[in-house]
Amino acid sequence: MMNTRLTLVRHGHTDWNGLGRYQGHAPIPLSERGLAQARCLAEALGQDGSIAAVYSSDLLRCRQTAEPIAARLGLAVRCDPRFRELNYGNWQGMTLAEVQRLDPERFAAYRANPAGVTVPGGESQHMLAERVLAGLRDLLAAEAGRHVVLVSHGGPLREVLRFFGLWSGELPAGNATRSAIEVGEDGRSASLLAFGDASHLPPELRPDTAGTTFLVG
Amino acid sequence: MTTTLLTLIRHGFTDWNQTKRAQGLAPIPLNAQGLAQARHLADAMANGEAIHAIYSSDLSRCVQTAAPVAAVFGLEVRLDPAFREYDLGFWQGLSGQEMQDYDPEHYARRKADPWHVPFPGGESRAMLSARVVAGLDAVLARHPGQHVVVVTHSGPVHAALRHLGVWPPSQDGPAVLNTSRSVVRVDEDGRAEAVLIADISHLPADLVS
Repeated sequence: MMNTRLTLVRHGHTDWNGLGRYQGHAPIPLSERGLAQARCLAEALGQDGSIAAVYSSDLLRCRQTAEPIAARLGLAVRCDPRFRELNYGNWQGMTLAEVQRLDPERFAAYRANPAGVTVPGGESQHMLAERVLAGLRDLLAAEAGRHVVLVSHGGPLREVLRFFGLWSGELPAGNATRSAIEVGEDGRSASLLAFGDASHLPPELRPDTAGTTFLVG
Repeated sequence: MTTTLLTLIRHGFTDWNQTKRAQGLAPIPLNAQGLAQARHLADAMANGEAIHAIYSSDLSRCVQTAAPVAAVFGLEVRLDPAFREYDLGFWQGLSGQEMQDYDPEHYARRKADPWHVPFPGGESRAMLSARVVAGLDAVLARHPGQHVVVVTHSGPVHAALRHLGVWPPSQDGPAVLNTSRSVVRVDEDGRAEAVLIADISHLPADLVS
């Protein structure tokens, strides 16, 4: 048995990313920019013959990012709702500034304890982590020793890195960037090979970090 | 024969109404135009039938609409989540067109059967109606022979009018504009008669949204 390599891709740009609006489980599609980014990802990853499988959140923006990659590799995308973004509930569609201004008490409660406090009508980070890691466990069991691409969202990718002690509290990886980890056979330890790598994107498609903030890190 | 007068009001204008983002449970407040609409509503109601009680959805756009009306009559607004808008689930923040464009299959299913098919991750018309009707029944039972106001959202106003039998369930609409008033007389057997449907005569033309 060998280590399992995960290439972690955050979906491409969407209009709501640009507006700083929290998407959660909304079916927001890739923007023109996001579609162009997805093509670059497919170009870069499509040349990697070591990739054995492509997994993805089943939300539209991730499927649209995953499909070109998988098509290049002659693979089918394995969609799993456990890799969806945090459900932002009643705050879906709002910006950080709107949430702070319009729901200050509940925002403060969430910020004080994002793991344990549920976004109203939505999830807590603990709930997010539980389902993401359940999906990850199944993925690692099914693909042990292989190289797998996982297309997902800022929150779930953070939870994966956090589980392995590889999260250092930064902004989410930018849209259409690649991060990479190598997971040990025990499925409990991993090393970080790359974070937020945008080198496969031309300068005009590289993510800018403005507006790309977690509601709470 | 005791007749209760029920006035159903839809909240005033918000920024998301303007940009056509469906709000659902998002706590979006009234904008300047909405606040002005609420003041005109309060002025008009001050000249009308005295109110004995005023209820409101606990979402801020309704509370802000109810406040000036309540102040006219020296009443406290009674908040009730039974009068909230649809939980739009994963479609909150989208326009109607975007809902259709981004999830055409679910959109078509819901259009064919809105009673049973919920907004994804949200409520169906049956679910919304059940809670609105329960809320209304409680209000009417508490205020026989009185005039009671309920400030709410377009989903609940439609559900109420259909349930009271003053709007045909098979029809779309009516168009329930911001701060519109629908007034219904309900007798003790629950028979209802519409006095006004979605009236906006209290608004000057430049404030209609």
